[in-house]
Amino acid sequence: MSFLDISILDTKKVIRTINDQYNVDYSDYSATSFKQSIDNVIKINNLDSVDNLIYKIQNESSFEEIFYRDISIPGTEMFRDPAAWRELAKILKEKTDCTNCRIWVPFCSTGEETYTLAIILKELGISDKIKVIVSNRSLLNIQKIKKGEFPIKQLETNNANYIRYKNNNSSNLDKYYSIEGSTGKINLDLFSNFEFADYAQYIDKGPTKISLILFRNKLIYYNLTLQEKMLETIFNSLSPTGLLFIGIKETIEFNVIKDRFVLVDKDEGIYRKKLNNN
Amino acid sequence: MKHKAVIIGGSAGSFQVILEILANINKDFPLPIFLSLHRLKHIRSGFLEALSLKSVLPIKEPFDKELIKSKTVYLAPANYHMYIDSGGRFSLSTEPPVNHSRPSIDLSFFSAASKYQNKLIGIILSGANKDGAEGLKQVEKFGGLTIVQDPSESQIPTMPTAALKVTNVDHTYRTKQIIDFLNSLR
Repeated sequence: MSFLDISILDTKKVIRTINDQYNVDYSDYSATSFKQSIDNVIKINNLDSVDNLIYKIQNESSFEEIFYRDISIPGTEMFRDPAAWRELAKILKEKTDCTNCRIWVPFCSTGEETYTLAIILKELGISDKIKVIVSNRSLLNIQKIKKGEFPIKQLETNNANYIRYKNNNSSNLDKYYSIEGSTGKINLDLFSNFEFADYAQYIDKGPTKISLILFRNKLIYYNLTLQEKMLETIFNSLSPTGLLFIGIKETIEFNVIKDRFVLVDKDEGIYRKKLNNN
Repeated sequence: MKHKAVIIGGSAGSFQVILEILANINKDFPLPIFLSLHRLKHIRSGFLEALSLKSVLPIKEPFDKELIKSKTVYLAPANYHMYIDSGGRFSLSTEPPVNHSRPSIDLSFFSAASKYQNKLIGIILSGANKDGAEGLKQVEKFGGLTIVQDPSESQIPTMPTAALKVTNVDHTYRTKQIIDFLNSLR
């Protein structure tokens, strides 16, 4: 393994170029992981250097969608943190008032979270009651998720997590997918009530009247300024008492907006929007 | 004190060494200590508790964007990479494993080296792969101080040996010497 060793100056140059060409601002992303991501874009596209990347951004307009796809951090695994999903399933099950409920998965990355949610809703028998909106800045990623695609090298991890989620050794995810070549494909009937947004998703705007937002391990890629902005968007999207589900090592404790949420489950990263607030 | 932080990487065979360091370090050791250790990703608890039983310093797994405090030991959480980011805060990441590892010792060391530069002490302990070697090299590159556990004492010498191969280290120490060295820092 060798690191490209991108300097802070180079990172800033890339951020400025993207801002000029694509009008998207990455300056408030977490510095180290963003540097890693740039490194990754350079490697995947065989560009060898930051200068080549900048040249490509400035001169090939078809590179824009490729950039959004490759800059996004791939989802790790389905049912990551099984206990957290179990807790979420419990909460969803108790939500008997859920007619016309809407769930939003912003910046859905590569789909692992979306597939996990689809399976949980199916198993709870509430797929038809709940509308799920999935969005991302990368339209290429959305197209892949729409087809239910995931890499088969993750099968084993996904299944191990699912067994932990079910607390049952004989559980198996295989009824929910098929395999074509090196690609797994989630059964598309799981998505009957899913809307895959074919618009690019931005940080400052989201759908409204949402009962639950899945935003696991995304805040970690933002600095506190951008976290605050996204949490504001999330707050505005949620219905009163709507839920926010983040990663187990994420917290909104360092953000000003924390006072407008109630911590529901500290271990599993579940918050509820406060009822009476401006 | 010249140095501002200590970062330790370890894998198989490093647990006892870490325990010994944490049990015998000065109670008023003034620097933050970062532990980037390979661990089972599904086991959330137990590891931290076992370390904190012996540690004379408070030890915790940081949340994302938590402020780094002195006199505290921080353990990289399972299944996340742990970075030392600008502004003196931790950043976590779920980027793909590097060298089959998440946390990746290399990535933690890289971020710490770039943040603390010549004020960082990097230590590589026993382990069964070569994660950490590139990271320690980076500490050296930024003028930081580098220590490797003596391979002859390491339960599994692959990791210290790999680090020694690419880095001109300042010290090759046995566990006891590492502890004495840290306690003698002024």
